[in-house]
Amino acid sequence: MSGGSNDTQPFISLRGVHKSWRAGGTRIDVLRHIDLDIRAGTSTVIVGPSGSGKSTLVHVLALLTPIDSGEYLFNGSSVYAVNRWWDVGIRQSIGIVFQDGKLIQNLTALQNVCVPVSHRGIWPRQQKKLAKRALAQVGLLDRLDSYPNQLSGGELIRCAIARALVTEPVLILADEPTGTLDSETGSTISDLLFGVVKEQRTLVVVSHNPLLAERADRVVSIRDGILDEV
Amino acid sequence: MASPKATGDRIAARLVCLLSLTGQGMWSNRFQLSLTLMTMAVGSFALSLTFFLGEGARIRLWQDMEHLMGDWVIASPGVRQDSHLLETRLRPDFTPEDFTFVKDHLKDVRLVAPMFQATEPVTFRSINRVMAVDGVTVELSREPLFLPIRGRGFSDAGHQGLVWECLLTKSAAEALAVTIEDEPTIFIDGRPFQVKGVTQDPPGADDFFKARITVPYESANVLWLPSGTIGDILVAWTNLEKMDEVVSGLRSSLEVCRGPDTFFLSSSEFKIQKSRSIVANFMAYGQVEALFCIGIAFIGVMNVMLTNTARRSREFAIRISMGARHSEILAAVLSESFLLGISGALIGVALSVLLAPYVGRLLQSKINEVNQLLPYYGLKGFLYPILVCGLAGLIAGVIPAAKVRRLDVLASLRNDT
Ligand SMILES: Nc1ncnc2c1ncn2[C@@H]1O[C@H](COP(=O)(O)OP(=O)(O)OP(=O)(O)O)[C@@H](O)[C@H]1O
Ligand SMILES: [Mg+2]
Repeated sequence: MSGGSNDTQPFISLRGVHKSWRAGGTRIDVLRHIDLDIRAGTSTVIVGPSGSGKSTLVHVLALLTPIDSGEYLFNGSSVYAVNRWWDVGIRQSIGIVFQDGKLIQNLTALQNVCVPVSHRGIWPRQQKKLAKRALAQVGLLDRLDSYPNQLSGGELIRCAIARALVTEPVLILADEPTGTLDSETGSTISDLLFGVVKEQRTLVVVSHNPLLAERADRVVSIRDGILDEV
Repeated sequence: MASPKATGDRIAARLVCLLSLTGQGMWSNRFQLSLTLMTMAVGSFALSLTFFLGEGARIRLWQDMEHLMGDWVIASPGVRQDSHLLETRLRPDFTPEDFTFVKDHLKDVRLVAPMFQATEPVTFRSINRVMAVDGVTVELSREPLFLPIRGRGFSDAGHQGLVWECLLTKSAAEALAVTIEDEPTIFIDGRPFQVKGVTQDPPGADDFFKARITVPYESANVLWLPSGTIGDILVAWTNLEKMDEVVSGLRSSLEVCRGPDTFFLSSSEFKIQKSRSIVANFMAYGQVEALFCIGIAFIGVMNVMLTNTARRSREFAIRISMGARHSEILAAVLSESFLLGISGALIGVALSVLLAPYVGRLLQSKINEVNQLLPYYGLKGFLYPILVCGLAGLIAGVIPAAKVRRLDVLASLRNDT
């Protein structure tokens, strides 16, 4: 994956993407024919009220759920062209930080960070090396052997960021990384995330935190399934 | 990017990671798993034990019968020994008329002779044993099996039942601690018999069969048979192919003079067939029970794997969102249940190798036809349990694996456990 240094075409582009959930008998249209272009190496913050579909958008971008209609171009090629949403190749070039970290409870911080690389045909020794490097980047080298329930909220998110970073993905998606944290921890996290972008990565963050919105190249709001530039 | 070596390395690394994923899953659930493992081990134990002991018994019986009976067929009065209900009626012994009738009607056989077979208590000094006693006629005492290798044979007076004499097989002499040179006296069923000589052991037979006592037919006739009766009729022939002919001739002539269902025939062939069917039954029951156990273990493995995958669905979803293929997770589930089956099988087989001799000793008292049940550690006893349990484990993992295949990543991410 080239990292999208091509300036003429966006790295990621959604065209008329529609996504609805079925809850009981009713259908909730969460994303209504959304168009979104994200250029390589830029940072985008998505804001919007609760339940507006921010997480859903992130999940669509991370290829964790199929869409109803529309098109998703990843680095210029359609993700849905030949049933490719199952293609782990694309999924493996994305790093994702979930809303509440989503670490595996019975694995230590180090083992958790090893998870993405463990599914890429890398020997355990090398996995550990990569994981330690990622953990060093987020400043968690002293908590390698701690289990998730022994970590603070901020440490959890940092660990999750390390896990997203460890494969050196071209795109990082983060869903409310500072959601429940105090402002000081929040700023550490934001330093981390925007430090990451400097290294030619594309960053998409869902956040209400003005700190993050300030530093982003671009802020997009979502309301009732419609996207708006802010 | 992919030189063959790098690809090979990548595949090896993937395998290692698959194993470690499997191992992690098993370790995190070790207590429940070890219980399921035990049920699988019980099934595999039963299966391999069935083979070890069954094969052992089969080989044993074969050896015993072949050597003991040779090309003889013995007609005994009464009905077949395995119809226990009918046997309670009075033993209708053969009469001398039956004997002459048979003798006149059977042509082309080497020998038709009366014979006596029984087991009697035998005493010498302070030693008491129950031993097989054969009563043989003059002709039979010239058979190689009854020729003394030390001492002498029966005297004429012995053959006529005027004095009581006996021959011991080598093993019987050892068991009673008899030294033949003194011509000592042993007691059979409380009566004194002078030991005239020692014969060879029936070749290949085990301890119980080896220790036998031979007495002249006349003595047996006087002592243990009702007067005017004949114990058994023994027919020997030279040509093995003629067995069918001899047997049918013997049967038809006995039916003519006595009527049907008043006698039974036993020969090496019959005994082997009967013993074979006993062993076959034993093995069939054993296998059915073992498969039943494995069936239960199969359900157990499936159950454990289902709860396990349900419990780990969040972890699986996380792994998939971090770039794991569904197939990798699936393989981990399958290899976990396969490993469960295999390790259960290995434990069971190991236990069975250790315990088979003791179980054999226990069973030996239950199966009359087998006198010494030694396990035979054939390949089958190792392979079948491993194959069956491995397969059971693998199949038990299919439904849980199918569930993983259909795993809804987002929904599973949500359930926090
Ligand atoms: N897997 C799902 N099944 C059914 N409905 C869903 C599912 N995921 C989300 N929804 C619904 O879609 C809507 C948008 O959810 P989403 O999580 O995207 O909102 P959000 O903007 O991230 O909210 P918040 O800021 O609270 O995290 C909600 O009404 C939610 O109930
Ligand atoms: Mg959300």
